[in-house]
Amino acid sequence: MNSHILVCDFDEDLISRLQNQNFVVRVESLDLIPHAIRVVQEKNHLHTFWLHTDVPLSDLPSHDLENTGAVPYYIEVRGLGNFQESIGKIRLLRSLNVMILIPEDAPGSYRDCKILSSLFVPCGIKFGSQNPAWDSLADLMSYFVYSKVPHAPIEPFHFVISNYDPQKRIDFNFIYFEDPSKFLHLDARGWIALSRKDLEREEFISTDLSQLDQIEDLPAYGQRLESWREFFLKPDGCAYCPGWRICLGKFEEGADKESGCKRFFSEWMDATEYYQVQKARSEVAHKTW
Amino acid sequence: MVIIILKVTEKCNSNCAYCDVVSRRPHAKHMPLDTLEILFKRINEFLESHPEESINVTWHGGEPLLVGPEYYKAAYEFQQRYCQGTRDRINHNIQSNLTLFSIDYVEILRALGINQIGTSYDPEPHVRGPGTPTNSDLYNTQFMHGDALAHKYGFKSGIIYVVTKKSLRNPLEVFCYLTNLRLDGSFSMHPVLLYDNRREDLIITPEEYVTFLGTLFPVWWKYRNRYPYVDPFNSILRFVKDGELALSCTSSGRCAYRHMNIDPFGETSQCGRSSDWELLPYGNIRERTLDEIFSDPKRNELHIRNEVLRQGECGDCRFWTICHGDCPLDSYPKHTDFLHKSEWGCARKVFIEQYFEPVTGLRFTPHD
Repeated sequence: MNSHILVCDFDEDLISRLQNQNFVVRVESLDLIPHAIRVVQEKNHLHTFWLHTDVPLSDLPSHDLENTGAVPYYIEVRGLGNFQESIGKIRLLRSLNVMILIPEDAPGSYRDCKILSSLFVPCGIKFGSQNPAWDSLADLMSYFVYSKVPHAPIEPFHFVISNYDPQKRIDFNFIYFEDPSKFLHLDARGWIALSRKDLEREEFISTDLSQLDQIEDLPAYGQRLESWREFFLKPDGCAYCPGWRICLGKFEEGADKESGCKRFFSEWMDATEYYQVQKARSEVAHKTW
Repeated sequence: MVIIILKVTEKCNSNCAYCDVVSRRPHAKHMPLDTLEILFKRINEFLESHPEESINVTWHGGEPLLVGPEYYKAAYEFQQRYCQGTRDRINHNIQSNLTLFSIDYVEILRALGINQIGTSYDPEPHVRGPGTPTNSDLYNTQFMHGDALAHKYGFKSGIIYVVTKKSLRNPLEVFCYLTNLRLDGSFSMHPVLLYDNRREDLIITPEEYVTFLGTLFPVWWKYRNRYPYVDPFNSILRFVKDGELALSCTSSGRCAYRHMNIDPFGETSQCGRSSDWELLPYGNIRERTLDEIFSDPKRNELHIRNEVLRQGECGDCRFWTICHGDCPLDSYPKHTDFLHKSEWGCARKVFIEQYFEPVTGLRFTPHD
């Protein structure tokens, strides 16, 4: 039995070929969601919708948002856009099961995430380049972890601090459905890839959808799960970085001795461990009380 | 518990720069099965006459996986056949470079009760690997494959990291690497022990070793919850805080009558190093019982060493409990006897005084 969550673009034919699977479905338009819900839930289960747009939040029609109901979904937008228009949607967004995802390279992305979080709208940064604005990222992370003012989760920071085990690697690509130990990507033919990037490059682990239950037995699958070891075969680089167990070399191409990734991920680890210590203390205090 | 280092082969598929076995054994071979069979008879004989004892067998080499999985199956059969009433007091361990580990070993190692594999590793090029110069790229790739497989099948593996001159260039980077490879910090750092001019580019002094550890210690102390099991830091801390003593053979001061190495020919000696250096031979298991070997009078010098040191060089040193003058074999190259302290034991003392105590604010006090 397949234990992975399947990620695909909304495709009725593809989804109807399967049953009892969990799906992350990418859609390009909000008004598709009600129909997509019916298609998915006919024989399968919905994990999340991912609405990909190239517009700011202010430009999304409110009535389409209202029609999404309680289904969990991401809305990927190019920032808040018109502030007044966006703020007008906040109450609605809070009532939905939604996370606003903003590409890191969108203008004002970090500022907009902070605003959304402070208004109790879950949000997150989506990485694109190998060299994000490390200082801005660190600032956003610090706000999320250290701020005493209540706020909504900001991903991927929330995922890491909630799931961090110092004696395990943690892959925050889980937030973007890119962890091959949990997610498989399907194209319209039902061919199976281990990531969105592999899908786009047509690097498939299987071209046979009936092999879904045996994916974990494929040598290529095991090799991918152990691919982190390749960093340890290099004479320098990410395996030598103190921030490794959170980063896992995701920004290797942009990394050099002067890059900010090492500093950022080290700070993130410190912040995560600080958060966990504080949380443990408050739990003890709560129990004592 | 008595310890048998079972060098089931002195052949190796690697040519690690600091290895005495490979350098000193040009005609290495595997232990014949009839010799192995005799060993299990001897083990049973010993345990039957010592109902309070247990035996720890550490499979060693060379590279012990070179003998193949069928060899270990034969060992298991010998144990089942000859140790019916005593096999629950036989514990097996293995020290392997993991480059030959495969699924073929999984079941038989489990049957022998082995659930962890001691290994060693060094990311530095041309230190570990086959050939001359050593092909460390090939070695490291094979190690990673074996390591992944071992973990897949539930075998834990701690790493021994040998500190060489090359380690001194970037200690913190090496430390990061090892803590990233072993996330819980399950590795121990030991100084390279080379007593000839074979690799002068690797030899370090005790002072350099202390400086290496001292550079790392503040970082480990700050992040000890992240990777708690880094040694020697963890062991020292456990002793200081909790009085928990977990000494290796080199520092226990108790190896005199409880340690034995057996080479592929069945020849016994005190330990692996003594065998490599052809010191302290105790005869062959074909001719002698384990009782006779463990009570060989040549061991007496190791036994009186504690008293000699306590009355002499070590005096009333407050670190005696965790040192005991360290390994007697380290005394031999300089003094041609075993009755002097090892400078590596003093290195541990200096580390504790100069780094451990100031950084932690804890004071090392002797325990009985």
